[in-house]
Amino acid sequence: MKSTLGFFLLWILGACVTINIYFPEAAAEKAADRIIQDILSSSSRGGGSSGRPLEGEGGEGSKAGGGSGLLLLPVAYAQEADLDIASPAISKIRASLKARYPRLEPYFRSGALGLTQGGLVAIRDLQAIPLRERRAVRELVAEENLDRSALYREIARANGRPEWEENIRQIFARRWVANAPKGWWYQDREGRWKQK
Amino acid sequence: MRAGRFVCGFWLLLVLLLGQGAWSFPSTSSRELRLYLDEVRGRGWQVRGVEVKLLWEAEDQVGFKLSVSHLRLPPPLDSFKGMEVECPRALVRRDGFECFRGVLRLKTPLLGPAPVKASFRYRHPLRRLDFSFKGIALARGRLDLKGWWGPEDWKLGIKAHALELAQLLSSLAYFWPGAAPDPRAFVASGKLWLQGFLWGKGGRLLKAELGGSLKETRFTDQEGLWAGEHLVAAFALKTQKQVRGWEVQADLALKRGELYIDPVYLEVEEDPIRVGFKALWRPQGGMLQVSSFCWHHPGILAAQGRVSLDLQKGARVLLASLKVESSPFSLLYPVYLQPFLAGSALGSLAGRGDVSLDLHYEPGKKSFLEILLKSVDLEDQRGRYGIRGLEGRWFWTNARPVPSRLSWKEGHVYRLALGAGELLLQAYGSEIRLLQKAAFPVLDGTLQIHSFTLKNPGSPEVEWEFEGLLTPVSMEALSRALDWPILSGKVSGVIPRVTYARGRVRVEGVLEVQIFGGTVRVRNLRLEQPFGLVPKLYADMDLDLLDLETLTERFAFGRIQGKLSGKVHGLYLEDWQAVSFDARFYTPQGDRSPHRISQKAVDNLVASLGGMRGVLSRSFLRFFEEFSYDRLSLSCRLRNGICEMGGLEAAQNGYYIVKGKGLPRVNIVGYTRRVRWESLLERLREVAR
Repeated sequence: MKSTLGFFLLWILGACVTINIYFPEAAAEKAADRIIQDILSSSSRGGGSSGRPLEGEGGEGSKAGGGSGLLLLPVAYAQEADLDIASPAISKIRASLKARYPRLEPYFRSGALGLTQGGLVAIRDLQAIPLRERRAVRELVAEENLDRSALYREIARANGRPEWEENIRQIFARRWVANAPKGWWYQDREGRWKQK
Repeated sequence: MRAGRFVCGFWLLLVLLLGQGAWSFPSTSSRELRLYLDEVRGRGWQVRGVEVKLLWEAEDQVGFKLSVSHLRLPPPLDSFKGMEVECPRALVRRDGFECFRGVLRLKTPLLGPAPVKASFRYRHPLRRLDFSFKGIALARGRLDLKGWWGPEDWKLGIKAHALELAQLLSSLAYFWPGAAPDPRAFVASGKLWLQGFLWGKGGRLLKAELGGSLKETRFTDQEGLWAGEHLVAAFALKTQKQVRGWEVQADLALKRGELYIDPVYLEVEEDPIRVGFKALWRPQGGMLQVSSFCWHHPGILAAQGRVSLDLQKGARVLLASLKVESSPFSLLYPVYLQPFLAGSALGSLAGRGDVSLDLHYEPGKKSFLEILLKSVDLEDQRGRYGIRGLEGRWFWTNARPVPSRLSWKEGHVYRLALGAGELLLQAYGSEIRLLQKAAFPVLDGTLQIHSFTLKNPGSPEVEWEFEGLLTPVSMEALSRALDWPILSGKVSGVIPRVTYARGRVRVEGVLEVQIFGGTVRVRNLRLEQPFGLVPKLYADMDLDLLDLETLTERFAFGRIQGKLSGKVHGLYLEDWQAVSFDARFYTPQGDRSPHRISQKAVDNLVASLGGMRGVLSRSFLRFFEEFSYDRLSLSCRLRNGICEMGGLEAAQNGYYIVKGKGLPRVNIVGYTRRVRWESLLERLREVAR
């Protein structure tokens, strides 16, 4: 009898554990790719201007805004939803990341900087940076990481799901590496540096 | 001591070998003696193939050669694999021997193969050995040693010429592992010139005076946080053993090159940076007392002070004092201040003026910090704030409080202009407090500060609190400053309490805005990260009896007469842009003022809500300038960039925005429930243009 009751309780607990909060991974990847590719397109050689407003964000953003409302709908519909990346905070952070990128890019290329497993930037080899630039690079990396963390937090927030921050960070960590040019360094799951 | 004994033994051996011959040998013919030892060994050492060759030239003159083909010595001498001493003309007497112009060859990978010019003289009664070795091929350079060794003391003169630092460090690591840095953690290269003397007794060093220079030197620690390149420097070091420790005096002139001492970067091109200190080091108590130090960076910084450290407990500061002479802020800030302020609100300044500083820190006793500011102008490079004509004396202490006085001529926060002001403050412990009520102009009004307290400045737990009063600021000045359409009216308010903690500014109390003949009250005003990348603002606003006529005239919207009340609750701005709110504007109940709306206003209202223009002008209604209305109302609930619109009451498939009265009657009915906020703003901007 007791064991039956115990089994029943376990079953209930088990059932509770399987309740899953749905995270729209495909949509998040799509959003991450859009943001990352937009930032990477402003390379120092391309001379992309940072002050330029983000193209086509408004229109798509409003659709995305509607989409986030759809997140409350059944899963079948939510699958097709985009992630909302159009809040003023996200736009401001994206512009800031984009403006900084041409200054970071040479150091990614030289291998001084690398992409971390947590979706941030780390100094891989400070010695590869000339002395006069070291402080500036350390500051740039600190600012970049503040912005990146804020971006992941704001995307989760703009979609009304602050608890998604970590999932979004993980998605971005993967997509930064996937979108990075050849020759850049990144950390694998064990935190070891590898070159793309 | 051991070396002394060896020399003494060597001399005895010579005397024995020479035997009585030393006193009675034929003056005409020379004699030669060869001695060969196959192997001699002791505990930890072994000598093989020892050959001694003696050749009598005259009565007391002998040529000798000592060679050892294989040496095995205990560490740290184990790199010496063989040696040869040759002395073509040695003088041997009862009281000692002398060797001039001898040659010494040492077989070791640490030294080059070039022979060393060796001269030495041993005097037995004094048991003193004088020596001179010239041309030791050390570290790809040349080393000359000269000095004496006696039972009472010894002296060693050193002259080093162009030694390669990398090689020198590895040789040093070999002979004296404790003294050289770990080659994995510290790498250096470059050339060293050194000259000076060491004095000592037995195996102990008692005094040293060394001077030298470094050229084309680079060094780095493992992470690259401490590094130098292309360095040219001169240094002098004096140290002397005292009863309780060591007295050390060191001076360094950095003449050229780059230095990175995280986070400070220094580059010297012309005038050298001079650094020096005088200290007493007590190894037993682990105490380092720097009785004076100075740092002189020409034109930028002249600092001096003293410091006492307890090195036993991880370099605990027992006392520190620092005086910085008046320095130009524009040069001081980028080199010595900005690196430490990066990321803070003070992290990107441009400025000018003079700053001087006096710091005394003594844990458990009186400590103070005094900063003097002379005509300082500061401007945040991100445009967040600026201040001009800053003067004063800032005094902080943990003992009896002393007032500080700061004044400025003008300033701004974002685009809000501030006038001249003066603050009388008291900085004590971890708290800064306003001592006297202060007031300074904000735009065309005045901000009165009744109280202000700042706690834990410079730490993440920084908090401040202030109470004050804002005397009316004209909306005209405010809207100009904020680049809004020019509005009339006034902002004023009692500010019972504004607090800041954990990156949030909270305004307790009501900010009252007298505008368009009515009142807007702002409550629950909260600002997050006001100086961050994305400032966030939260507020609830209530509008009371605004005069629509004044409002519509202002914007050339077309005349509407009547009163307007409303609310904008849950207002949330990111980067000063609306993200969400619940807004409703309506004709207040019992409003007895005339309710009229002009044809242009109807047209603009319709257009701004996305309707067709010119509906009225295409009908007979074009002959009427104005229409009466009963009530009007419009609401918008903004979420995710979409405005959920609403009005007075439901109409067929829509909602009434304006309900007409009398004849001809005009009703405005909205049909679109969901409007993009951006398009709505765009249309309003166009209409107001």
